[in-house]
Amino acid sequence: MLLDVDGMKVYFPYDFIYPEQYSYMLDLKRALDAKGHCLLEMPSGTGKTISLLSLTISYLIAFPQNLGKLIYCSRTIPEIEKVIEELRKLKSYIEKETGEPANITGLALASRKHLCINPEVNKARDGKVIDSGCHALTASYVRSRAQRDDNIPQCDWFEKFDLHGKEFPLPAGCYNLDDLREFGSKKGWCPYFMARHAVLNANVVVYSYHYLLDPKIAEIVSKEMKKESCVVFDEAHNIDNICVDSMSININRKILDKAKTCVTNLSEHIQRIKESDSNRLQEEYNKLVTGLRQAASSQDVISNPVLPKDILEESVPGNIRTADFFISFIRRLIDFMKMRLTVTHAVQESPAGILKDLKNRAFIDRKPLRFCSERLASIIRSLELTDVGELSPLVAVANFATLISTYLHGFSVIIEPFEDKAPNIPNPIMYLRCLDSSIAIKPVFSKFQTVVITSGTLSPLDMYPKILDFHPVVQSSFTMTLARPCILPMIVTKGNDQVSISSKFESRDDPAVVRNYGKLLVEMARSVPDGMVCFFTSYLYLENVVATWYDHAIITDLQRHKLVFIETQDDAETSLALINYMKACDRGRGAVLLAVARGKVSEGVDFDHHYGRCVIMMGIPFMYTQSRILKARLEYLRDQFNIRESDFLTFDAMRHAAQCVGRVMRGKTDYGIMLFADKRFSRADKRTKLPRWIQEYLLDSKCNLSTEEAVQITRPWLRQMAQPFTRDDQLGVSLLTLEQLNSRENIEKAQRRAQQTL
Amino acid sequence: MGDYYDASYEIQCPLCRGTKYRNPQMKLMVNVCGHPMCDSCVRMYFLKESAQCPECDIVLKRSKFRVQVFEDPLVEKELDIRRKVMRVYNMCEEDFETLEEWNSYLEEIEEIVYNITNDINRPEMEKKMENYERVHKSEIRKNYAKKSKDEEELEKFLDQETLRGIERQRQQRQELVESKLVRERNKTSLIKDLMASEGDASLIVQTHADRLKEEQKRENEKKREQELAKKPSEFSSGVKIGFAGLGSAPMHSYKEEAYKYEPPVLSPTLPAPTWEEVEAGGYLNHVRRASPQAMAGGYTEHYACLRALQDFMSSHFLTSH
Repeated sequence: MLLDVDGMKVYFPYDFIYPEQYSYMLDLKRALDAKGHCLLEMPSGTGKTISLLSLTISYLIAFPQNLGKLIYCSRTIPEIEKVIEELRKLKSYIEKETGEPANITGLALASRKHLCINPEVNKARDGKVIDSGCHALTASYVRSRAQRDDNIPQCDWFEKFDLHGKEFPLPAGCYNLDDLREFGSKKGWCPYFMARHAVLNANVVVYSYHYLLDPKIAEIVSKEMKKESCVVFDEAHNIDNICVDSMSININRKILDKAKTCVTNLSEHIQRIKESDSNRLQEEYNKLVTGLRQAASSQDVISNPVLPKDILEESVPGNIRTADFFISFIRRLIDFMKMRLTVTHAVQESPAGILKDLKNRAFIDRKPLRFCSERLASIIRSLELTDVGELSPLVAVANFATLISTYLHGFSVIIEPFEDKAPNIPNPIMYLRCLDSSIAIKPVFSKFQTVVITSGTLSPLDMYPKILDFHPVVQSSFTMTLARPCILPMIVTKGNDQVSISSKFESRDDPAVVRNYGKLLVEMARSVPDGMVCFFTSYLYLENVVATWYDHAIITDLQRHKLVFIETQDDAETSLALINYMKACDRGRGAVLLAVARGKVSEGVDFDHHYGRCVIMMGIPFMYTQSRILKARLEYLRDQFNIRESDFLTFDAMRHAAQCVGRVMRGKTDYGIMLFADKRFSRADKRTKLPRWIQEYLLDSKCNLSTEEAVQITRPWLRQMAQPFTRDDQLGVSLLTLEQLNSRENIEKAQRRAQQTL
Repeated sequence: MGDYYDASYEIQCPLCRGTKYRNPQMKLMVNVCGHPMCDSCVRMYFLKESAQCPECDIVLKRSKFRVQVFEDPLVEKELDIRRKVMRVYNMCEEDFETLEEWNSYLEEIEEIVYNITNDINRPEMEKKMENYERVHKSEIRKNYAKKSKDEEELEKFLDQETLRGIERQRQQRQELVESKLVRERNKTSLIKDLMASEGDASLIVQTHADRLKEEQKRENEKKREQELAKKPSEFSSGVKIGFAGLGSAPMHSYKEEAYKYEPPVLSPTLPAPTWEEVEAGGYLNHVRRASPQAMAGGYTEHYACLRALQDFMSSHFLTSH
């Protein structure tokens, strides 16, 4: 249908629309008009993706001078493909409506692992091997050598693309990864480089978070995007953790030893080059004198973590210009780090402390350290090394050096002698942890005019602007308009024996608590049909509890009603369990999946309809508070952003809990029970941090239940929900036709629901 | 040891072949030439004050031996030389007018160190150093205690950090004490009020609760003010935040009337199958057949089946009305 949003014509490919979708579009339009950033929370299963696409594409068509491109970031490959499918639908609708071919190009971009069609290269399964295999065939110096010497292999697809592909823009259309591969093999062009080239001119680009947030990749792929773009981070409830991780480096003994070997190989290589072709090194030296920017060629192999602009213009410090001197420099650096790794107890130090120590002990100044990774990239280029994969430990060390010397604020170095899992075996690790999530995302906020952060669970909304350090023009949380109460959130605080249940440290191993958890699960399994998912706070707790249940014959009880599947840390095992869980649900046998919050199941696996009728959250999924890394981050948050430790911990725990229980609702025809089994959930500070759409259905009368009471509420509710439910029941309430939408009453409602403009 | 393997256990003394694995107390020592040997070998070998290095035959003094800090003896040797060179070449960036000069100065140092370490033109390099020392004698002495700008910055930063840490600890302690005090005070004042006054007890409790709420509100406001104080006042598009710069827009909250859901009226009676249906519908397939003895008493499996069905359904038919 054709909508009118704030005076703009919006193409929407479906005949019906949810009211909150309309409000969502209103808010998004205002953010785009204001050229500011926004933060929008809308329940999953209410059509976020299509609302976003419809509005931005219509905006692109209506105001091409204000908005040039939509950059859509998603987390996983299946999600990326889903977005492209929605776009395809939208495009064909626009074509039908206007009667002429729409000039919209949308494509997905992924790593070489997903796009390479050279059978020689992609027979390796590992992404890193494919990357370095590709590099060995397509690096500029390899190709120039190949022109002289026929024996050196080249990639035909890349050569053909380089020869013909660059002049022709990709024909308008929507390309998912399969389409790109198909198009590439038809034309004989390399799909990966074709996609990377096409990204510059496409209207819609869909790729993973890392292409924008990881400074090492963003530099290569997303550098030339224009400011007039709208960036969308979908499922962004974890965005701060992704930001922090993308700027952090862990280094252990093994990496250092390997890096040392790399250095030895490099220096041997340099000696060889010196004897055969000394001009090459001299040329490099001359380039370095004039400055880094000129030295970097167009095709970067390894790029640096974020460097301030002024550094790149400057010439490289004299003490690392010559290849030999640089080698001795990096050798000193590695040995210094090895020395620092030999600790007997955990050490936490600021980058400034490490830098001072470096100066005193190894005579390494701060300035050459900042140039370290760029200098390394340059030497790899001049030596014409092809096997970049081999050098990755050395690159890690160089990145460590650059990061630690560039940022004095917001980073911390933690050296731990033991791993958490094996506290007796010495295995020292040096963590360079970014503590400030705003560092990685800052370039994105300043580079693009509109950044949309959206997810099903972003509550409490005011935390995100604080920790990401930005100022949204629009921030709203939408509820779900429902024609029937199809979610049933409940808080169970005690078992039938009135012993309160809680996963807090003091009481989690209490047999009474474990038994009550077990009884709760069995009782629910008895009353709830089909699939059930049960989340624990950690793998360790899951194992302990299941062992106890086994001893108390609770597992046998449970198996009388449903089959039991368990998530483990092993990926293959877990996906096997998931497949069989689905099978059991399809057959009508019913199944329980015991999973872990923050695990693979809690992120990205949907339990729609009969795959999940009930989710039980056993305890509050707090982070492991004894970890030094977390402690450092909490301290930093307190100092810089005035966020109290307990506030952040609760915020993080509640967003994960919401994420877990949100798995059960994937649409308006779906229904499911959300059971929070912990006494602490009923406290106001926890409850109010749940997303609005869950809170609205969480009545006071359901906040302090025992197992028995919960079962009593469940049964009649399940029967009610099991009654036939058709589209006509929803129409006019949670689903609107165009006429209904345009009625004055509904427009007013939607306006009010969207953020007020004063 | 699991799959953990530490290369530092493999370090071996070139003389006695002792390893760190066999003797964890073993320490490697190095002298100017950079050839390591373990501490006990040093004691054995250097009974006299000086002896020749077993590897390169240079005459070494016992007093010059020191513990090897870095794993690679080459690095250790280089650092030794570097220390000496840096004592002479101790200018910093601020002493030079252009970046070019500073960079070539750095390169010169690097060249000297590299050449001495690798025994290329060693006498020439040493002579160069001596020359430099003679020419720049006064400057070297002047720079001896001076710190470069970079170092000063680092030092300042470290000082700030320790100060911040102390401040943080103090604040945390204070907060803890305060919250404890407040809790105590509220409790005792309520009990006192209840004890002393003649009024309605529920009223007193009510006013007390109100006061607590008020305090909480004030606290929150104070916190917000603190936050506001450090926030910038512009969006990336250059527009001022909020209303005349008074802070960011208020969180949007809008209560709409929720749609009234009317649950469908479901029949309150059991849709239980009749006696005949139980038989024809296959309900009995999963019920144990009645034994002849039980049949004699008038029991049939129908009873058990109907009873189980009723049991199951009854809870689902429990409605509030």
